[in-house]
Amino acid sequence: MEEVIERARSGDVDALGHLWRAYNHLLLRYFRGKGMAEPEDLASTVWVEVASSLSRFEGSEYDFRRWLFTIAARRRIDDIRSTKRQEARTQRDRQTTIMEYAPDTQVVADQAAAIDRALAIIRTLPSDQAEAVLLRVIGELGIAEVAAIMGASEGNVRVLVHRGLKRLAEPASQPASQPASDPAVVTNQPRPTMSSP
Amino acid sequence: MTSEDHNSDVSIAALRSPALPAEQVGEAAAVTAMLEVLSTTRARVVGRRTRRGITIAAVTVASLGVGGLVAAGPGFFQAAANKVFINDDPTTNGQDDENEDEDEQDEVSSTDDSSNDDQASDDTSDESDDPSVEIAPQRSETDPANTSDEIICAEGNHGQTVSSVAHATEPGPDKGQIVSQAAQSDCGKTNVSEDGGVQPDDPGNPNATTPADTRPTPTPPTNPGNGNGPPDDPGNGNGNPND
Repeated sequence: MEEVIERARSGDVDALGHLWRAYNHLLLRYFRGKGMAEPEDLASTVWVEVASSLSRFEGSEYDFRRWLFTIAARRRIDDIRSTKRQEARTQRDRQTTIMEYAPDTQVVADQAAAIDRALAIIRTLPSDQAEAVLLRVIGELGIAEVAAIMGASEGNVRVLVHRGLKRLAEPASQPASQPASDPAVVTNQPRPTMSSP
Repeated sequence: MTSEDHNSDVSIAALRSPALPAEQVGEAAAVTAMLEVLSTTRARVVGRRTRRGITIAAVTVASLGVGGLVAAGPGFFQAAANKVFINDDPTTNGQDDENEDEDEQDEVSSTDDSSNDDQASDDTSDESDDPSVEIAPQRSETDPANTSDEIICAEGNHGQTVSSVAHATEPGPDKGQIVSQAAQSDCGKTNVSEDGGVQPDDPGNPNATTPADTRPTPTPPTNPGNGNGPPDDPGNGNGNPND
């Protein structure tokens, strides 16, 4: 992967595509897990920022992943600050989002369902717990890196991750309670438009 | 493994699973956007480096130029001043310019030859503030006393010697006497052993210099404190022809 990153720095199209395919779905799941209304748009902005700074990046694959999710967290915070615009678009684009994730095979469908279930549970967590779990699980980052991104102590991050994973481990039969602050719940099943809480 | 652990593992595995087809939509557009940003960033960096390089080069050249001028300034301007100073010498006319441009500085320097004003260059005789003018009276005062004892043959033939004396001597009541003495001297004359000098004007003399090379140096009247002519005068220091 380091070689791919190096080639991508020099403008290799294949290398850039390789990077995108390797990490874009993780970015999408991260943004979806945080309940962002437009995960694709946010992911696009992340990749643009990566491309603008890629020439200055130096490090391993792990360093790249940490850098990528640091940018993603920043973009997410920037997006949250424009809340009004986000809520308006959520109502408008929800149907499109649902249709976009419609699976075409059973295997893929089962996989998609499992992803959605996990993300749905994470969205019920407090924001900092969700952030810690997503960065730990999806970003596969260490405690120190998660703490650096979140601006928290490592001990605090450990507690947050533990509590979040404990929630993930709850039996699947137990219905996940939807937090009042969660504006977007994306599933593969088309359903009537929900009124905003 | 407890059920909770199982559930946790399932969730974690799901979240880390490979990309779904729906999550791969838009790859081409994303890569195109990234390429565009990459090329723009590289062009900006190159432009910045180029501009920085040009700026550094321009500043360096300017510094060297200014520094060179500053370093050469005194000498440059001094040379210019000297040149002007030399040109100010009223004794230099169109014929003698090349003969007197160097050695006149510390000797004649400032005789105001009014008879040559119309022939001299336009940069001397009218200079009322020429410091050389102030020196001239002093020299003229000492000249009569030293003339008879301190005539030193200059390079060149007899005529050039007399001519140089005439030009070097400032106008005054004593000028005629001085020039007369120079004319009566044996400077520059051939077959004269009293002056102890080789006659540079002898065409048969292999050491003879061409007229263009001879530089009749001024005689002692120009410098009351110095009985010697310029160091390059082969006849210098040989005493007076009148002895």
